[in-house]
Amino acid sequence: MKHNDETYILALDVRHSRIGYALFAGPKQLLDWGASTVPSQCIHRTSWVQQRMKSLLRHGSPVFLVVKQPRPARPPANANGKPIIEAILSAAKEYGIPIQLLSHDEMLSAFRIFNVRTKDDIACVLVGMFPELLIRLPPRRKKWQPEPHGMIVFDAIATGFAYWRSSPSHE
Amino acid sequence: MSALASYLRSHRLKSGFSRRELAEIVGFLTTTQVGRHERSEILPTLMAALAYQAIFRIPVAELFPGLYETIAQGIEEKLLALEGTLENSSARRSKANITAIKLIWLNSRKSASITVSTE
Repeated sequence: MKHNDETYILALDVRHSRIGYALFAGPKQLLDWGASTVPSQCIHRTSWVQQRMKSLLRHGSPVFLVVKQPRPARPPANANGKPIIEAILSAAKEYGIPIQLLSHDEMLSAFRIFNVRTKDDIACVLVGMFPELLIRLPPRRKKWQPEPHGMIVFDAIATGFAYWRSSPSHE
Repeated sequence: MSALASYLRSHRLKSGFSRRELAEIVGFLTTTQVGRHERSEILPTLMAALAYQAIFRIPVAELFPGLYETIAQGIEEKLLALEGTLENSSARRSKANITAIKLIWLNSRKSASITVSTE
């Protein structure tokens, strides 16, 4: 699908209990970003996700939805995240918004030219492009530490960025 | 191109302000109002809208383009209807002069480009 520079896209990074999102207006303009936590006590997790998605789609009115595909190498996380992804897909379908799933490899290849190796490196690259993200940049993770809570936002933004890099209009 | 109803959140995020900080600057007691304005759930008061303009140095029409477009579209339709009424009216002398002035003004308004910038 070919986009012009002002096309609104919503990029998502979906985890077992969190959703990171980023709204782009073209490849160079980042309008909104954040993360939502799916309430752990919530019985109807999928309906909660659907409501949240509808709210995001209403607010941002994107013409395209890009979702980072969960990595198949992790069955437990994948199993938990799957209903959430399905809820997202059904909400997008309801709004008639086309979806593209972006694999981990596609993500990495988009950032290959920056010679990055870790998520921290990618986050730094993104801060270079969008300086307003600087205050959200988490401290560099040590190997024995868990991933910082705020990294999901950078993952969503990276997904959107990777999409723009791979879209035909970029070539 | 699709435009957001409100760009308030985008500008707040870019500025680095939290909702609480923005609410305090504008003069709200809680953050609820700011959140609702960001989600376009409620319309900001004139005081709040001008406060946002003063904070971000961006015209209200650009902060809330969706709202502005809706209002502008309604106004254009009403002005067009008024113009039609004036053109079809059969007034004499002084009233005819006023009608002519109004029609001239409406015509000059059409040719003038609309600028929303306050600078």
